Amino acid sequence: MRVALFAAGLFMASFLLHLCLWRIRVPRRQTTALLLIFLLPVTPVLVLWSFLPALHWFGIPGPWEFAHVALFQISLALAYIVVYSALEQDSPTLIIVTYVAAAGDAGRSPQDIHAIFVTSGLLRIRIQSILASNLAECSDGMVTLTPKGRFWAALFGGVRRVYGMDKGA
Amino acid sequence: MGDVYPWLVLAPIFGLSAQVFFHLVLCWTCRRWGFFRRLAVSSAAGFVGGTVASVLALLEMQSPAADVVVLLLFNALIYLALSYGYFNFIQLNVSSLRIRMLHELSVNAQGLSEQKLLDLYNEREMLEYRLARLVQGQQIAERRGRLYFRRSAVYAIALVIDFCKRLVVGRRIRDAYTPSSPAKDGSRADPA
Repeated sequence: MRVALFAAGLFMASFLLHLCLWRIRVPRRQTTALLLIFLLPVTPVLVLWSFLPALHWFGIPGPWEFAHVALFQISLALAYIVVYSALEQDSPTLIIVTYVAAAGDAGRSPQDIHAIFVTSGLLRIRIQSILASNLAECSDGMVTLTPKGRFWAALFGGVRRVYGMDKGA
Repeated sequence: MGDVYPWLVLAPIFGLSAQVFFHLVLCWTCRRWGFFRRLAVSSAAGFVGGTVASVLALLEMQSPAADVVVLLLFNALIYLALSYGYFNFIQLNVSSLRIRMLHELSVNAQGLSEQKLLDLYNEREMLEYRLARLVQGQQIAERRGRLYFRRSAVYAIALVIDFCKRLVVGRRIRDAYTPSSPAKDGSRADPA
């Protein structure tokens, strides 16, 4: 039980640190900052566990107990970072569902839903995002994939083939 | 805690493996099922598998009842987090515009002009695709051409996200479409 309590305490401490830092200033590279806040404490805990027998009182006396704590911290941290991307930006799917629910029994027409979305410059924003992430480059007016972009395209293409999915979007 | 503790640690990973396996099988054998239904069923199968593995390990460890409950909840949380990550990784393939653009660029080795990339998409069709997916997945209901609320997993997720949005970034989902309460950064909703 101490393993669970220790892991929960470590995650809550990381989350509170995240909230406090965000109140002071939201970092420019938010995903990187979140990874550092949530995953960096795992290393000092391992170091302290190795050199401070007193830490054993908290119930992580062996490598498997430590692995349990690390698995909890890493899995919840990665899940939270995915959730955070939905907090940071407006998910069109969640907007649609919420907008329809707000209408109650009156419902919404598809035209109502089309009207709430901005209809210009959006795809350009996505293209700029791909270029800024170094997934593609633009030369002589032509956009081509970088090696990094080809890797990710191949990865997701492979996933679609394995699961028999269509292109989507 | 003896030699059984490693199995307790690995139980959520076993559950995730079970989810991936069942999801693959359902994708090829139950093609008429909706996207969310296949993921929900495989997630449930993984949860059952992970829980059974955890219970067997805890019984072997002969842990006190309080420890059994706490550690089961602990492992359940780990599994749910892993499962959520898997769900998002899979659904990116159907909902992400950027991933679709990467695909289009990968099949056009000479590259595409920005205008050609823009011409590939029709924003109205993109939204209609999303609406059709939500109706097909029974996340919203359609009657006589109008769309209605339906108690659904996506709506439950929207409620959780709305709460977290208020807590962390000080905005709400409705800020995207409420004229009197524009988003604090001045942006409006934009299809991903």
